[in-house]
Amino acid sequence: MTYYYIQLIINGIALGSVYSLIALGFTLIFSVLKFSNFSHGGVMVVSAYFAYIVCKNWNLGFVPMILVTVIFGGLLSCLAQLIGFERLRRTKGSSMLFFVSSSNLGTLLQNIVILMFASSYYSYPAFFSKSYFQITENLTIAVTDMIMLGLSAAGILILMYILYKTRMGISIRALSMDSDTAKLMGINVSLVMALTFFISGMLAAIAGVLCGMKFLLYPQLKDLVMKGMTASILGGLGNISGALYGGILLGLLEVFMTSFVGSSLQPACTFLFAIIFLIFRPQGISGKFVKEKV
Amino acid sequence: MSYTATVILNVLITMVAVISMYVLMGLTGIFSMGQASFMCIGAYAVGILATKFNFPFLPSVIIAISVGMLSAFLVGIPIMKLRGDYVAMITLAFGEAIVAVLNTFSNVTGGAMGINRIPRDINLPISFVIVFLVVFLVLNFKNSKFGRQCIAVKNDPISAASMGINVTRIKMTAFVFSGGLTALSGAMVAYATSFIDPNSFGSAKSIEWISIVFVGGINSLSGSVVMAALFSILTEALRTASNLRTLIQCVIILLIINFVPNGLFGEHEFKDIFLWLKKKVVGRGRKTMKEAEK
Repeated sequence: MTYYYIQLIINGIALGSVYSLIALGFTLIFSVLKFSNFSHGGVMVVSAYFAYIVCKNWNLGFVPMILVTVIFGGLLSCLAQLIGFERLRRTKGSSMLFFVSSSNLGTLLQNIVILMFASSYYSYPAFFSKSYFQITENLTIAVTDMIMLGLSAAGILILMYILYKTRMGISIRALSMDSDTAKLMGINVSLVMALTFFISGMLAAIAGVLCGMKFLLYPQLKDLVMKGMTASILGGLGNISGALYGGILLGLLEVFMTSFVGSSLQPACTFLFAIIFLIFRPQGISGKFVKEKV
Repeated sequence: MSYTATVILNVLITMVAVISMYVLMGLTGIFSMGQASFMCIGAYAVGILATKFNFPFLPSVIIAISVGMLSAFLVGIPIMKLRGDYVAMITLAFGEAIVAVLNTFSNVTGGAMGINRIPRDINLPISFVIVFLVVFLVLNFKNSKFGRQCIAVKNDPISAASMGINVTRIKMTAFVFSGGLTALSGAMVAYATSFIDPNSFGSAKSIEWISIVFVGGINSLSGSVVMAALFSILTEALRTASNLRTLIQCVIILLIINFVPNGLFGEHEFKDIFLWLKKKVVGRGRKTMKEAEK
């Protein structure tokens, strides 16, 4: 029985790491532009399908495929920013406009995928010969889960390094505090904004490919962005480390709920948990509210 | 019912739904990504009452509206205090939870098969009366004390609070009111199509309504009504290519948000346009009564 729970914890953390990855890309944009970027899911889906095309046509291995896809995701996200948000940001549109713009961009990207591939399911070719590792007699780890854990951890570490150790990261964080002051300090706001979207798109691309490997490739993969948002709410909206914890918490929660109440009722229970959590701790795990200035 | 009548009925139903979204977004500035779930609640309330208990039209519609308002109240309690992004995500999760519950308790709700053979008790005159009543109600709401407080909350919650407006309570009022209206549109859907299933009330619908409100005009009921009609006719015209339709719709919305951020009607109602036309036609030489009094 103990093994069963340890197995659940392993699965939960692996699933949660992907949620953290989605939540991080989402939070990054939230902290800079102060709006929920619903087009993140669209970038995820398109990148995941792009990876599929790359595998199919060029026969690349796993690592080159990830690299190509990551760059593609970054560029796509920049393009989305140019189309959807750049003009709004310049004219200082209200946050509602950003919101509508991003949700429409998400739907647009998803529909491009549907038009090209129809709504049917695809799957990546098998990258590895073995599908799971046997740790002990009762404990196994799926290779997909290990890759998920490893890639998510790598993505998160690189992001942390960029944000806290490089000059670009400092400008991103300055921008997230106050864009006008950052501009006065000589930061090229447009460039840093584009870079932020590039990084967020890279994270979305990794998350998209991982989700495509874990589940299957289908256009509704876009809705997984909602998990990222729930994770970032649980962790505290707009907080980078909070997104990390929130994702893991959500992953564990979902796996345990599925084991206790079954997969059909699991969304309802997760929703109830989120509501109760918000009643008692609206500021999330990390415990800091995003302050809005008067 | 003839084809034209069905199309007109669909237009009217969309109108009611979009008006409910207008109360929420246009007036109060709350994003609800899961507003369609209240439509689902209304439709299921009617479906269960009409097929299992043989309730007549009026009582079941009234019960549907009450159930919608009650569930909006319950969902609203934890989130109305928080900033808009929480509302968007929690309502989105609420939508998923509702679908999960409907799929699980299949002995009452019919599960994924849905409910069919709901009597077609609705016809065009009744729907016209409903739409007329809703427009009348919302127009009065907009011009009442509540409506003005809602607009104040939308434009700047902090300064609204400093003027003595109870922001949470106003948001709650608008949320419950619009939950009731959406449930009404759901009741109309159940009677009009005589078949409902849980999966036809996804977040895509809510996003579409939000976009229609924005395209119509940020603070204009007339704009919402006109755009609801135009968009549902566009849906009907492109029925054979529904993915292409979504694509076209998204592109139109993105263009409008970028280049006409206040929407097509802006802050104006039909009344303003009539007044403007009258001024043009009658000419500037004559003074109106009000100007003469000055």
